[in-house]
Amino acid sequence: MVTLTTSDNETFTVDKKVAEKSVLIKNMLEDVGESDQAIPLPNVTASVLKKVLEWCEHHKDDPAPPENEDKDDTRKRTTDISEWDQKFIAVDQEMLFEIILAANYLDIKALLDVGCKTVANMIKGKSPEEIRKLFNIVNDFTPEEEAQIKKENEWAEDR
Amino acid sequence: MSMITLPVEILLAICHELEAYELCSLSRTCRKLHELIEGLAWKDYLLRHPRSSITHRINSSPQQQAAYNHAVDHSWHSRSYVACAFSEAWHRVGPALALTSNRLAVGAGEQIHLFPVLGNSHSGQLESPLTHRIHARDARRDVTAIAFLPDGEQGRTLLIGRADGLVQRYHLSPDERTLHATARYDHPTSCVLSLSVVNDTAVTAARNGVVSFIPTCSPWIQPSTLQVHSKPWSVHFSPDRNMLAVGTIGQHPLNVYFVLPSGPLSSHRRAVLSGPARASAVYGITHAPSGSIWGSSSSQVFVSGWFDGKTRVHDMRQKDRTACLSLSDPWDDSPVYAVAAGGGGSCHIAAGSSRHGIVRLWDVRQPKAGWSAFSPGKDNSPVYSLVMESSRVFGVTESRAFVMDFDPSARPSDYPPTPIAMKNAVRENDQSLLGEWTPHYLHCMTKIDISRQPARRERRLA
Repeated sequence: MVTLTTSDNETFTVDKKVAEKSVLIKNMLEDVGESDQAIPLPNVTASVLKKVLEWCEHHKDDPAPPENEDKDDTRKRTTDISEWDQKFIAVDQEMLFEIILAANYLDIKALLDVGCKTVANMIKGKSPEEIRKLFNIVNDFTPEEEAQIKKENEWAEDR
Repeated sequence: MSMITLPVEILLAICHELEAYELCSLSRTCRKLHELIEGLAWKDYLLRHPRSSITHRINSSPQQQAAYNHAVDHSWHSRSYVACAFSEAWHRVGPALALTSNRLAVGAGEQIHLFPVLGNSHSGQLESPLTHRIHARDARRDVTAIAFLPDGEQGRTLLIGRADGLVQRYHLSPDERTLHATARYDHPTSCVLSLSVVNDTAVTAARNGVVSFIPTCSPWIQPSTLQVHSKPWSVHFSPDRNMLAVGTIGQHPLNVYFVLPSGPLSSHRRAVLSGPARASAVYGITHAPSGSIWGSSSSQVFVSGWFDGKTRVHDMRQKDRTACLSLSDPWDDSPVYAVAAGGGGSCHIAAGSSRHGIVRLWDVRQPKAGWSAFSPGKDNSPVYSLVMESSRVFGVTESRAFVMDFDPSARPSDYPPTPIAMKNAVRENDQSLLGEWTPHYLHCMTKIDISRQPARRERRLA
């Protein structure tokens, strides 16, 4: 078992196998060796870690990704998100971004992928105005700039 | 917590999942995302969607390159192209074609035609050729194979194989007036049927069945050889230099030999790729272009043109050696003499038919929806050689060199004028020599499309 401490000083005790889904924790455990001391995670809050650990628990038996990862960008990429992951990630935007940040910090590649794909799916098929509304983005272009950029980026519309 | 406060690497990872339309939309939302996408995401997009460009037709920002690719893909999809012949009739049997970033070479009979390709701002225009005669006219010494050798993007070094078995390296002088032989390689006195060059290694196939492995930088080194038991019509050396595909005639005409890094071939280590049940022949081989549809190691996918009119695709990563894709033109089963791969979306395959100068084209994502185009001039000749890049296909028939250009801004005037051909075209009322359009038909249709108006529309590039 491994003990983790969050930024808001909550402790979680989880199975080693679950915690090791995080490459960060895995490396820490390898470096420190067996010890009863809690691992501090100063960048993660309890509510987010709870969610992340839920994901790790469900995916603890997944095969580990290959060691020397294929750097080739043309490799076949799976764009689908499994049903369980879809349900898992159906959270508000705030939480979604927190999970992405936590997955990035904890180095959980598969969860980061799920998060990024979810954001990408939210963007798909939307116009700039719809995207701004969706993510509360403030349009900081001047009208001239906006017209110019619109002209430069119109080409993909007739598909 | 908002999306734009996410760190750059995560925003990039999100962009990595997006296609062109979404990237355009996203880059229009705010300054920060605009800068990120202009600066980094389009580069990543181009890496994810590679194109098999040989010449550089556009020199601009990654975003403009993506826009260009998008427009070219659209032209391929809607079959709108400029087709024109860009050489006068030469009537030489079996010409050969080679393309490098700044030059197109055609070997026909005793002539070598070199067409300079203008870069960048001229959108790949072809200039009038300089013709070099490398020997007196004599059918027994005709040029049968031609390839460019790497010389640092200069396009001045050529490897030429002839019908009498002579294999020589030629160098074009800096003033481009003379082409002189700089090396001669040891080769059997038997017609060079096919030639494949990867870096400084050339593989030739001679009519007598000897396949030679020539180190082009070192003419004094004896080439290592491999004996095959029938006429080797075609050879193709995979770009990763691990495999050599040899097309012959007989029961098992397509064989892949595994090549050791040290060079020598072992005739025992080979894979027989299957085709039709009857004896057949393979006349042309190439490898799949790089592109997501082919997976990361496209050099292990071979495309071959067969005697039975089929174009087959074999994936060496598969356990069984049957074709994973078989492409054919239901209206024309004449043999395939040449194959090429690339084109729109980097997923097109072209096959040169042995009759009527027909070029068959397929998008492998829709293998049933292929189409065939008659080459300009309507020669009753095979298409002997094809070279395809992302926006165009070059080909040669017995009589002339031609191009099918899918660049939306291409004009017939981008190619050298052919006054004699033009005159003939006007006299015989043959529009196909004037450029703009050639007759073509869809494989899944019952009627040839004879509408005069090409399906071409002006498309503005951003």
